[in-house]
Amino acid sequence: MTGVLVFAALATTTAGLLVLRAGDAKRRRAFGLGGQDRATGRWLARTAVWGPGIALVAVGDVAGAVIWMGGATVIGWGVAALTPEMVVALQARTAEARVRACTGWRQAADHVATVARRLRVAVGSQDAAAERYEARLARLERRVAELEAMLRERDRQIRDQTPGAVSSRVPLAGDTAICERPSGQAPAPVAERGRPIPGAAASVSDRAS
Amino acid sequence: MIEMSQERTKRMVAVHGWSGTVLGLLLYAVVFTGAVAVFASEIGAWSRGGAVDTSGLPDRLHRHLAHYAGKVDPAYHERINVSTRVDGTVRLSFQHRRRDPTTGATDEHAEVFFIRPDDGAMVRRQSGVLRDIVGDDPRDALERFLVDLHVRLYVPEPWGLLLTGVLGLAMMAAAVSGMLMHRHLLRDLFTAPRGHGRLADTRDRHVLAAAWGLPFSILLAFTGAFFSFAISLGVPLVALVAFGGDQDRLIATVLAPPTLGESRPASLASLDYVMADARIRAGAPVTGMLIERFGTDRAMVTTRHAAANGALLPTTLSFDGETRRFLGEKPTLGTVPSAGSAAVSLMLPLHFGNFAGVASKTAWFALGLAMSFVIATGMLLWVRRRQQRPLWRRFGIAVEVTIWSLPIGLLGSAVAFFLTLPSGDPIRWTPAGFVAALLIAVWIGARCRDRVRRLRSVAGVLCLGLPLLRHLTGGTSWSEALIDGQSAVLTIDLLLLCAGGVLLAARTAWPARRPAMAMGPAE
Repeated sequence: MTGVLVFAALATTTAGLLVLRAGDAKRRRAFGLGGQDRATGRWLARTAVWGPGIALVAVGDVAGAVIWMGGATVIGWGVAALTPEMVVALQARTAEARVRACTGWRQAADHVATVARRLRVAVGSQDAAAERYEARLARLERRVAELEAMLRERDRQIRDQTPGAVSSRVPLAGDTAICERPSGQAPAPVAERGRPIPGAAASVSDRAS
Repeated sequence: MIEMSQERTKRMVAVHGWSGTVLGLLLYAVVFTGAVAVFASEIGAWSRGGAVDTSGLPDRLHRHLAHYAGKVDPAYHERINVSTRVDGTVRLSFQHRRRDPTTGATDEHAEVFFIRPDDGAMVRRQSGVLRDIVGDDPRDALERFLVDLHVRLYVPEPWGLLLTGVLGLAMMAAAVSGMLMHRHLLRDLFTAPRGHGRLADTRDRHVLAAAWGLPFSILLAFTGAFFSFAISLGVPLVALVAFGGDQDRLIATVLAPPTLGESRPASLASLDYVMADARIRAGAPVTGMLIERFGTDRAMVTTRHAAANGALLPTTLSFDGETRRFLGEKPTLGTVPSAGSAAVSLMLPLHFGNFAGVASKTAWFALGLAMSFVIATGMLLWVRRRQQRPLWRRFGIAVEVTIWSLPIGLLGSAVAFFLTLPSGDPIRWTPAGFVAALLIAVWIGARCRDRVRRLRSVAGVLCLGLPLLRHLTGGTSWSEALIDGQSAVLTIDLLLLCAGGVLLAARTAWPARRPAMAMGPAE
């Protein structure tokens, strides 16, 4: 418990010391810094510096208070010893490191996700793969059934319009490009325009036979 | 702000400068080794490859103690000291004072049993003069060397203690005179080095570090001087005045409880019950126990405890050995509570910084390093102001070389320790390694113009090489340390690697400065 309390106390004290440093009149004069020191901020900072030590004594953690005192003097020295140039350089380096760390993390996360995806594919269970294939087959079969139904419907329509005539080629679903071709130009074979639909081809050959 | 006349300020500057300069190099050695010695027990655990948790004595000790008490001469029942050791054994030390008829000197003789805590089986037995038994384990050589170097600079008794006592006083004089002569102490608390030249920067750095560390500089210097003089001067002087020079009688009178009347044989109350009772009363485990006049109706049991959570002071409790009645808290000095005893009790944790484990030790280590920095910059400031004179210029070189040679010497002692541990003689070779590394560093410093860079590189290489050397000479590996929970081994290895990396990186990152003590325009 002492460790946690002391850590919190030192963090608060450090914050107060940073504010006091920023507003210290002699330091600002010495380094030619502008700005005005505000009395309210100064009092708050002083409370933040001394308050934790007094609080530690008040709760009876004398050991913690002594550690706080020693730690506060060392931290105070460190805070005061940094010149404004060093502070600026430190801030720049911290920002750079933060950006680098963020980029690094993002890249690492992407990399991990990719690896995980590959792993998932590579070591996925056979059941899952079979399930996927079955689902795909079912989808394809549904699609084939739909297409066959469409073909039958189209054939019926053609038969109804021109009794006795049989088309050498049956247009397929979504095959609007054939209709939009300039006149006199032969329609391209099915294989050239894309993947042939097995169901449709089969039904055509069936019909031809 | 403290107003002083110009004349008085001049006097203060003289006191401040000379008190810090005349003994400055030795003062730096004592303070720097003190900062390192704060972690002596952790360094000991690291060097011997780990330590068993010895936060408290095991339960059910009574049976084992009674068993081993029957194996020694009843004369040794005078005092029985029970403590744990870092190797996990329990140490039962049966002691009694005996005067050597030939020399006339009184020594504490002991029969010591090292037993396993679970079944009480004896691991080893030693007999002889107590101080020889305590200091004969070669695995403790590095830890003991560090402490000895800080306490008495390895100078024979009592001169070493007197010397460190004088150094403590010099440190106090420098701190107090610095506080008096620096008129704007509070106003300059946030004034960092302004880059107005090398001399001004050194002054700013020195003043800033000294101002922040002032309260603890005075505290550590005072307590250090007190302990040095109390042992080397105080005890013999009081013994001479009040006890005819008999220091044992003085110690017995001041520390031991009064023994009134004749004693009769009686059995000792259950130590297990006493320990359980003591643990509840102190709020901390029993770290050690002293049984006086074992086997008589005047028997007394004293239990020692570390500071309870949130407390600063350790506790010592007294119990009647026959009836196990609680007699009260035992003061550090005397038999009844007193202001002097309270002050001495307070000084111990405030000097050693061991009252709250690693947290307090880390704070004290940082304070020690800050004090070392103050001393080093103070000496550099003093000699740079006088660098036109050849003598001071040479002293300046000595200062720069000492600042870096001391850490190199300490690292060299660790190297010697690990190299000689397998052959079993590190007690002799650890100090020798320190001296050898120190001499090599001094030689490098004296011959090279860019001495600071070179010495920093040597220190960096040694820091990087030590974990490897420790491993190659049979030390605990990182995997073993992780499995066994030996945090000291891992932490110190990693700290050394980090320190080595920083020192070597600093060598290349920082441009080589002109030699500090070379002739140049006055700043």
